Amino acid sequence: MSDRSGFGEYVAARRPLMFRTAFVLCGDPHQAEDLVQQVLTRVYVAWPRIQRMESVDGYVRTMLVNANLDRVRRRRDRVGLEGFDQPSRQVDQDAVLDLREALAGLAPGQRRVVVLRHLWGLSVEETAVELGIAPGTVKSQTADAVSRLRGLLAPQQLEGPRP
Amino acid sequence: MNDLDDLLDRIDTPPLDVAADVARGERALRRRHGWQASAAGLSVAAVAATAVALGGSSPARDSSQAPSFLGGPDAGVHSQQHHQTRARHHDRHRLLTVKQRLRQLNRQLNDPETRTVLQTYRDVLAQHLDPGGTRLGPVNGQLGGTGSFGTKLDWNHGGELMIVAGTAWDRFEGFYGPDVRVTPTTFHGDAARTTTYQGDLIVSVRHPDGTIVTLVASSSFGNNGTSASSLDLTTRQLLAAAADRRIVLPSYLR
Repeated sequence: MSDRSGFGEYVAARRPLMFRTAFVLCGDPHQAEDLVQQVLTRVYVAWPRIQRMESVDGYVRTMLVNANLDRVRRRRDRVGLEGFDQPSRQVDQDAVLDLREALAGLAPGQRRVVVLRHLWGLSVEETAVELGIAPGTVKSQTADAVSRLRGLLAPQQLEGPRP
Repeated sequence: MNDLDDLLDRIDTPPLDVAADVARGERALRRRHGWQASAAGLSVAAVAATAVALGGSSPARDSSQAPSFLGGPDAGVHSQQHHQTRARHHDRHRLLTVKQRLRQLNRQLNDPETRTVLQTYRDVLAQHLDPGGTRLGPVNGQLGGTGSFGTKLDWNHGGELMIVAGTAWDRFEGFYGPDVRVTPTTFHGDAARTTTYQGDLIVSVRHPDGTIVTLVASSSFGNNGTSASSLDLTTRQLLAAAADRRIVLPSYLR
């Protein structure tokens, strides 16, 4: 078996962050998990090459973004079979729905900034380089995203106690 | 911005299952290279390697102790501080859960019943869907581990037929997605669900003993990149196969 040492450690350290990133990008926990699984499978296959890169995190982030773009492009209406009743689906928790709706309300650029600044912890300058935009744009998009999320979720979400 | 950080922290993450990610990668690698080795043996080796890699360390450790892949030039001080903040939210029981699940999965992979049950799944599916014996591939891997169990099989030379059994509907929500129009129905008296998604056929049937069997038929095989010329299956055929009483969970998951 080829050398994939370090992959397990990377997954243990970064998988929760990857999931949150995918969730912010696509707004759905099931699809987020699918994205993470797809990306990690590809990462595993290419791990001997990826682990030698200067920034594994940066490469993985790009893979997540591209995988989500592919998902959006492939998306089309999903249709159930005719002649049956509608399902009784389990309802998600209110908080999850609120968060999902709030994230869905962000523009794609704002989502990407939120991912890089608040999940991956990149600085304004680092975010600007990664997205190929001006630092001032990063700042304005960050401010817009935070303001918009505050408006969509306040007051109960942002001021409520931590579960 | 702390409020936004707190908000993002509230995104619940699925239980960490490193072994499952390694197993998926191994399967993709084997398909890519056309390896014929036993999936069980390779998966056990991967689990063992991962367990060693995780042994005595914590995924929640701070970045100063983190392996080198975390310290790329673009990580920066801000990233380091942020990672430390994130690390505080990982608790010890999650690490214990990882180790426990690794041990559990290792035991299951070594259990002779695992192979027997998966082969039975394959035989039942072949009887219903491939009586000619030309379209359904052999068992070469295992899905699930805690509460669900199954495998992916090659279908019609490049497509995929996935079978997963479990005892709770929520184990299968991921196959349908939150916004998919699921069709509840019955099949010979068994509660069932069906849907189609991007050409995939998805069915679930609940047996009288509580076992829920889900089948997903796709003309492409996941991350393998292969695809079949046609699926050539019907929802009715899949329902009949999923309802077969010979499909049972291994004893260690009942």
